[in-house]
Amino acid sequence: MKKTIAMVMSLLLALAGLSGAVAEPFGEGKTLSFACLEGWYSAVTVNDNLPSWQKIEENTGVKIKWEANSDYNTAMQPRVAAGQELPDIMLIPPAWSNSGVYKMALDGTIIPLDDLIAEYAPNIQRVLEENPALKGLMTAPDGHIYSICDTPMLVNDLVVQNAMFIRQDWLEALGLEEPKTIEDWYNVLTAFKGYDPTGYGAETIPFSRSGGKLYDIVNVFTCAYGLPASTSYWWYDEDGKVFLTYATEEFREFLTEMAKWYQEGLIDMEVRDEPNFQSLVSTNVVGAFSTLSERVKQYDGLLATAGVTGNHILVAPPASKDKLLLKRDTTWNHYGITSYCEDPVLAIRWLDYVWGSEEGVTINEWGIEGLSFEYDENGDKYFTDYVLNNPDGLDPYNALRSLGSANTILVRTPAEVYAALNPDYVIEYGESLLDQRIEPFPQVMATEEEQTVIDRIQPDLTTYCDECVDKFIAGIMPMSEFDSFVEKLYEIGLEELLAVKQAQFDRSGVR
Amino acid sequence: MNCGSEIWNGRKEGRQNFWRRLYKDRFFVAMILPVVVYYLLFSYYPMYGVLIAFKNYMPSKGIMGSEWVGLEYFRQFFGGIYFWRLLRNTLLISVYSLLWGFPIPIIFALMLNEFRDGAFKRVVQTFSYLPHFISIVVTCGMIINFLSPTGGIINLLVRAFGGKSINFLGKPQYFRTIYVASNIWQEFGWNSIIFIAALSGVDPQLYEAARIDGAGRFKQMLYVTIPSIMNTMIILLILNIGNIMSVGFEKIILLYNSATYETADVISTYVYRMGLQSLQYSYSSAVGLFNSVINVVLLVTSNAVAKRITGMGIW
Amino acid sequence: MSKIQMPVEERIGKVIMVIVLCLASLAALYPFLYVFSMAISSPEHVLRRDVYLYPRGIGLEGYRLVFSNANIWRSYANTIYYTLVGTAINVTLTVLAAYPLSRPRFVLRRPLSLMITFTMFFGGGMIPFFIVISRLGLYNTRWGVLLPFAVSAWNIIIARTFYESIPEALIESATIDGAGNMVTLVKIVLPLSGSILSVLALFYAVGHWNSYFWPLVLLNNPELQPLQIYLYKILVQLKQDTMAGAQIGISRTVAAEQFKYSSIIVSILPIIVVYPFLQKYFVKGVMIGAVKG
Repeated sequence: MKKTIAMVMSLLLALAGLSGAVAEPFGEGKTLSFACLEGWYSAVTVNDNLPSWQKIEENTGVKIKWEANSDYNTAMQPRVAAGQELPDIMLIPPAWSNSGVYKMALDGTIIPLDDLIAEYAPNIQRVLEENPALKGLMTAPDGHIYSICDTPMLVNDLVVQNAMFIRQDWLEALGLEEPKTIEDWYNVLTAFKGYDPTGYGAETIPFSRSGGKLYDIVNVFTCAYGLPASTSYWWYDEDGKVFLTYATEEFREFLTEMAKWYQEGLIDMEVRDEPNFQSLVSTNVVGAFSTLSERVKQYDGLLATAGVTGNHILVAPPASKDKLLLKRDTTWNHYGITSYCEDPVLAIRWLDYVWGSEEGVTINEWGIEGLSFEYDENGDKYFTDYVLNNPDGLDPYNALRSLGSANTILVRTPAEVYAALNPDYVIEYGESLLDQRIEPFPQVMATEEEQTVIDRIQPDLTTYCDECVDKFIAGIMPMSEFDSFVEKLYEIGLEELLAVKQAQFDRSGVR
Repeated sequence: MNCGSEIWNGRKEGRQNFWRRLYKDRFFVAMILPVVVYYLLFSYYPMYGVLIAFKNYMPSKGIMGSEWVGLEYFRQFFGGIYFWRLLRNTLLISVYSLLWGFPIPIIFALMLNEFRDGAFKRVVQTFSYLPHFISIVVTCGMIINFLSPTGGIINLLVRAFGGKSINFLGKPQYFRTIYVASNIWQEFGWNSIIFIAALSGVDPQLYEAARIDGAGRFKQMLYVTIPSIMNTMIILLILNIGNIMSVGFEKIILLYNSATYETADVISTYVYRMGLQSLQYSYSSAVGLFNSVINVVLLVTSNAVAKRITGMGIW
Repeated sequence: MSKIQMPVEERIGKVIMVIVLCLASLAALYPFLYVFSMAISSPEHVLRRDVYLYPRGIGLEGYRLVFSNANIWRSYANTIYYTLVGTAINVTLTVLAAYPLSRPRFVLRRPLSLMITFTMFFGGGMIPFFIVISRLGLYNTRWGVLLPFAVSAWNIIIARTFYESIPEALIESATIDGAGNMVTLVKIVLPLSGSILSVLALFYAVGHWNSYFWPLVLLNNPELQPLQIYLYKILVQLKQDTMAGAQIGISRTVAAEQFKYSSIIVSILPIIVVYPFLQKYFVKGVMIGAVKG
């Protein structure tokens, strides 16, 4: 009798799986350990199995033993390095990078997923089939798939990484137009510097931004010189030839201009972390900056909190041609099933549910039906007041995060969620710049030999580039030394590294 | 023949003597045994880990099973264009820290010692050790605020005296001073505790005797106080010298930026940046081994020198 | 009496010292005051960072956040447990090692001193250390953050240096009086150890209290994690915001910034209060007085 029921159930299950409807728990009474990043809302921890994840537990039957950590690399590195005490599923360190995936695959720390996906993960299978580009980025050089990854790809069309924020009230106070070209920007910033936009003689910092180096402040302006905005090292020309953007004539022009701006006090001379930068914004001295478009509400909020009347508007970056604004990276963190996992089938089915299935993604991103979201008469989801006007005064993201949703855990955020959580003008701004946007340089996984070359050359090269670029901007190194800067790059081994990047680029299938 | 057997006898006697003495000291041996076991288990046994530096370490193959690569990673480290700069910066930051950071807690303790036990002394001492407990993230945030060219207190002073704002944290020439001075600010009270405790052991009768001999306060300090904490000073100095290569990255990464790499980038920060891009166990082991070897050489040398000059040492 | 006898230059010296010590302690007090003020100022001042010394406005959102999570009490209890048990183990073992090493006639004095000192400067690295801990079954247990850190070579050397100042003659006379080793240790050595024991206890206790890295690595069970892991979570999250441009929009609130300061106050107050209690052992002449008495 029991067996018959089980058979009928599994038949139903298979049908349900095909139609994408609600699945029956498949892992009743089983446990998986899972190491990932801690949620972003400080007052709770996902280690406490928050409501959204309880819901997922109900639906899958699988009990998760959480090992979430905000200082992820530090916490995991010794375990990973010793190859001991590893969880069943883990975010592959270092976080926000794919450099660990193939290394650990070769090492045997994580297992290949292709067969498991083909057999037990119809949803993941479908996602990969529908998105060959994503599949390409998840495939290791040996042709196997070893990881599932966080991907913001579905919302990337809406997010502008290099949105230009400018103080609308300052423009109005000085009777200025919104700047379009790099010359306009120069003029506006000069006016911000010299013509007292605050009305009480505050010493302004016309252009600033948070980051780890001076270049971070101004890197958006590379797009005015035919290079991708905020270019970071590698790009390719029409023939598909990879080059180092820092070693180009265009970059020299960019640096020359920025050195001038720095000299004239148009850009911040301090390197600031985000809290420090936000504090600066709130003191009403920053005229313009560049960051993720979605943060506009947050920065306006800072002004309001600090009692400053004023607001920011988003304007288009001064790109000299189309296709210079880079989209965000398609993949963030990668997750693998370790060789210590005793039940890989269970693990892949759980991943399939959370990351692949409609239902799992809904809980992970929309939260809990009836609490954080509801369906309207057309069957579309919408956020409730719990999220949009939280009774405890949390902003929408934190409200969701207090439930355990909307964190960086197995992310595959649908565009509707992003659109529902952000103001219309931010979405429109993103859409208005669609033509200008282009995929970033592909983050292809390196082969073993390539990784060796990268490990040997890249640290010196990046140190040297970062240091010289900042010195050029700050005028510590005169622009006349640019040629010797480029020469030195070749001495460090640029040629060899370029060959690696070229090979990776060719493999990526972008051309 | 004769001679040889005498030596042999001597050795035998020495050995017997050793065992006899060991038996006599059995109480001490029993006391220290748990600590010896601890060190054998948690320090000496894991030392085979240095092999990682000579191998292409892969966790699944284990330390012994990984493939040998010889000096490959050392070559990579020494051959990097920044090796000498990293070494220089590490050494300079350490030496300056030692030069300033070592005497100041002693001077502080000596000054406190000139006061009778009472409210003043206790309050000063309690305040002095507070900054040790403030997280480095916060103290560095404060340093950055103070030194800011736009609103920082230091630059307001500079301008009040007619100077021009200085971008302290953007200029390589100021980095070491900032690092060392702020370290002293944060740690002088904490580091003085050990000396304050040592000073509490000085026999008051020694002062009495010195006073009768007509020594003033300063002479008492010179001839009574300092000699009585000399031992502690020397031991700490040797230990500190043996730590010269160990400059941590935590504080530096909070204060430096690429414009100040010239003086601020040290071995540990470089390895840290590398680790963010990819995990390189063997390379960082090689670097760690290099640091250890230099540290041990310095330790042994300074211990030998101290023993020759003062007769005191760690072993 | 003694004041009248004090020569002029000494009095000037004393005045200068008072000034220097006052300045030094004010400089040292400042960061604490700053943190304290930031923790209770109103949000707009925290945001603008125009709090320099005393609190401006009032805002307790940070504290509310610190205590909103029930886990903090669990973490607190864990930290107290690790500090008490850990320090007891540490101090006991340190004395057990330091006292024999301080006796010039101890036959293993030199080799064992060398053996212990060597470990401070040379080690096998994190990987084999972790493997040992894991093989002993200590991973993710309370003992895992206690036993592998049972004693510190640095403190053994410090304690040894202290015990060296106890004259051998004193010990010998006790032995001649017929006291066994155990009696000598308990009746003579320990009573003299007030100041060194308090220094050791302070160093070890503060070490346990502030310890972050190894608990983070060794304890993934939230039930066992100490306070520092709970607090670092916030600090690290604030910092990460800048590191990866590629993140889902992180909505940071002023409260999060204030949280940082409140949590520092919450975490350091208990350990700071300990100090004045230990201080009484640092009073001049305690040790010699005990000997004579």
